[in-house]
Amino acid sequence: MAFNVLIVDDSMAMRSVIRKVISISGFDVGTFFEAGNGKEALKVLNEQWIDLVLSDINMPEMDGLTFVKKMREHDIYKNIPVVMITTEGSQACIDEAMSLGVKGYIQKPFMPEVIKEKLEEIMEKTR
Amino acid sequence: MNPADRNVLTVVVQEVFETMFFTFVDPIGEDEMGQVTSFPGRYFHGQIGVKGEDRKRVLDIFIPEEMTGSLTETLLRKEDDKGVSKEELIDTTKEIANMVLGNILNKTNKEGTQRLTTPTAELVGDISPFVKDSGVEHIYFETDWGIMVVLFDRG
Repeated sequence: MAFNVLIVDDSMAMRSVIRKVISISGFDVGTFFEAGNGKEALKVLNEQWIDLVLSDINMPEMDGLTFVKKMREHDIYKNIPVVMITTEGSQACIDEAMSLGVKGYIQKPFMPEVIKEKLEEIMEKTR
Repeated sequence: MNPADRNVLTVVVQEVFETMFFTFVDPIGEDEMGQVTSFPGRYFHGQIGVKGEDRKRVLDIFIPEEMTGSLTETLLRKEDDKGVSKEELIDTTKEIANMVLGNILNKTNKEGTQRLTTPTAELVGDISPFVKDSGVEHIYFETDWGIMVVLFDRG
């Protein structure tokens, strides 16, 4: 069954890269939704059915960790799998993301295969 | 620049360009940097810093305009002849600055709690005043499109 993906990154280029990597990896994606920060992403979640979120951390308006915290406070969104894709690699940041229950933490720059493998792992677990 | 810092900066810049853009950039040795006297053409200037610190750590990167176009096409995997917009070029420059400083911090202070500022970018003309009068540590990289410059003010 096709799944809907929300990509959250303030870089339009990076959103495009992630979308293309997922598309060429053969996943059965219904629709890609995009947001430029956490605030916009919450709006998308409110309006669309989303099965998977890929989010950057360092973004204006609302950063990725605050966004995930807000997701986790909400009954409907709290169980949506989230993968962080970010340059932020400090242990404090990774620990905070993991404490919020994210399913993966990918550091930029990344090889396309890394995203593919992480998504395969998540899809396998949710099947 | 002390050899350890120069090494980290060089490795990070090369990793970012090779991994995300399949592009190779070669650092110019410190003893040869004096031979670079001009920076012809226009450059995209990306800048990013570190939040919440008393000292002001800032990274500036100057990428030749044509190179930024090529990197953006590679990143966006453009398959048409429409080219790239200035907005996309600015966006690519900001993302490069973000990845370079983020990875420098990851390599030099993994346990740290620093967070990055939101990057900025703009198209500039002659970059000589930025580079020559900056007074901060910098590295030149040789590329297929000319010299690329990275400045790192450690605060």
